[in-house]
Amino acid sequence: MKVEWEGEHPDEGSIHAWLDGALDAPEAARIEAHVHGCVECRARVAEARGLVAGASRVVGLLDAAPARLITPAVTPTNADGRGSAWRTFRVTPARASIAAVLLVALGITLTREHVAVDSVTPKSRSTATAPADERGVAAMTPAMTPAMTPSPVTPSPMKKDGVLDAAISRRIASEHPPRTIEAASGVAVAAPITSDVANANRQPDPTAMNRVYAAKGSIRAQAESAGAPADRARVGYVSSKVNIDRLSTAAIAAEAVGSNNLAARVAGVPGYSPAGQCYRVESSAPSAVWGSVPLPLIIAFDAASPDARVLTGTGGQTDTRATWRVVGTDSVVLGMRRIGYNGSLAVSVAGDPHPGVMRSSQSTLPLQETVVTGATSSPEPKRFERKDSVVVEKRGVQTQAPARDMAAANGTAATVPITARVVSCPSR
Amino acid sequence: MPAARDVPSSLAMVTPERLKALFDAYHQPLVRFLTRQLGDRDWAEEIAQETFVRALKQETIASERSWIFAVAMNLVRDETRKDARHRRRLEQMRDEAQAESVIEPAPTSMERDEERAMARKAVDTLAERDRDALLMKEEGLSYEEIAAALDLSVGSVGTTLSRARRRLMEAYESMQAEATRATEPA
Repeated sequence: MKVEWEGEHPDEGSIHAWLDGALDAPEAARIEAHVHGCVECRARVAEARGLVAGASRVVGLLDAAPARLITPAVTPTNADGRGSAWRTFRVTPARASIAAVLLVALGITLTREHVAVDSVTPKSRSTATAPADERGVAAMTPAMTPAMTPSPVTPSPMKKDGVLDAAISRRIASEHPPRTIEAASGVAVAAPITSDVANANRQPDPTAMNRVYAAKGSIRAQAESAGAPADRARVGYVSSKVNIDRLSTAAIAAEAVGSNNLAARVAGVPGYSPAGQCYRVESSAPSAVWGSVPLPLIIAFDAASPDARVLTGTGGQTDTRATWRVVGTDSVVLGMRRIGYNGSLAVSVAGDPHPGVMRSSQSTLPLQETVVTGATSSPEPKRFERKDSVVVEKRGVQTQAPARDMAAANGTAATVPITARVVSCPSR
Repeated sequence: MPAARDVPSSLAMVTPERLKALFDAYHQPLVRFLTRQLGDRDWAEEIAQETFVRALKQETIASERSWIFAVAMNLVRDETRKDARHRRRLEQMRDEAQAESVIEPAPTSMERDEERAMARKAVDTLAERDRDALLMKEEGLSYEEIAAALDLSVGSVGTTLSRARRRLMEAYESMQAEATRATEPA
């Protein structure tokens, strides 16, 4: 290609051709020599370089994939093609849902922090506390334990609970509207109850703890069948008054496995704490394992924190840790903290050795899918004695979402009866 | 140099291996070129496909790349002439691009969408031949190939490209300046 000259200077097209490398070597050399000595042409070459690069960039912009996250339902534009600030900051359904998620997450975070403080001082609980829901707790992953610990000390703002309640109520109510025990057993929180009862039935020599669980399950089931709104029964605290003499089928099942007085069975040891103690946990079941630690094992309760170390039967270290808390006046519940496992262990505080149950499974629930919800405030649960019945104001049932997944994950693990004996702690 | 569209076609079949080689070499740049032309990826794919179907019918293609781009361009021209629907679709897409930029949550993405919409507008202001030449150059076609595809003399390609680039940048920069004025407080 030949360079076109405008007088003594190359024309613009030739400069572009030169920059594009489209000129023959002799033509290119001619232009180069001229440009070298021509101030005006150097400026034109510089401009042409800018145009070549700029045009290339603009053409490249055509390829930019739309990076939209939100598909507009309508695509209104102003006459000048620009949107108003109102449209820029308007609330869209997608934005609203993001905001809702953030709000719930904030509530959970606050709940966890708030409860974590309480759980450090389990002794501060009232001794009049009616038994809380060990099985509900035991069904949780350890990571959730603090958030689900009831906090009788400081009520949290109703607004937060309201948001959580409403969100979870809608979810659960839309899925399960149970009014009966049978229906209730389909729900996450109720699922462990019925399995407890079934467990109690299944075992020929049930421990006292099994009976306690079954009895508590009956209370819970009774609460549900007694007309507590199905959604509220799973969210936060429910103050359903339950007549124990109006025993449900679950309670009848509990009766079948033990003849002791129900009130006696749920009695505990006020003010009990295992802090600083060590339990040796054994099971008559062959090759029983809690998570990855075979029984017998030793649980060393930290004296100052709700942590516990899980040691081998001979006092050796393991990778498993646990968080512990006293539930009500009659149980110590441990949540396993071991990556890849879910597990819980509950023992009665009464009797020697302490009877209890444990359960563990390999975790099938990725943590990021776990949403923890739970009530944090409630008036102090009350317990009334009457002539003909014991009326228990039931403590809150905690649940988590996706609750059914969690129940399923735990449902695969068998509940193993154990006994725990207080032993002297092995030296570190 | 004879124009690519004048390459005589014959009914001899291109072998499958040869078609695959053509496809591997030119499909991606052709689709990008057509997408930049049309602002519509699906439409671009359709025309690219039709282009390769036509290549199947060619026994020999003197300058493959310019032939393919020339055929594709002619298909675009034919279609846009006989089908105004696509033009409306094109305008609709442009409006959508603007609407997207309005609701885009991330500021950087918003800027990017605005830039894309402006680039689209600016490219569309170019004369057809200028635009074709520029987009072909951006796909790496040589001056000779561009000349063959557009039925130009090689000597005028530089002039065509320089004009296309200057006009494109003038259009784009004036849109940018307008946008800046619109966002700045009075």
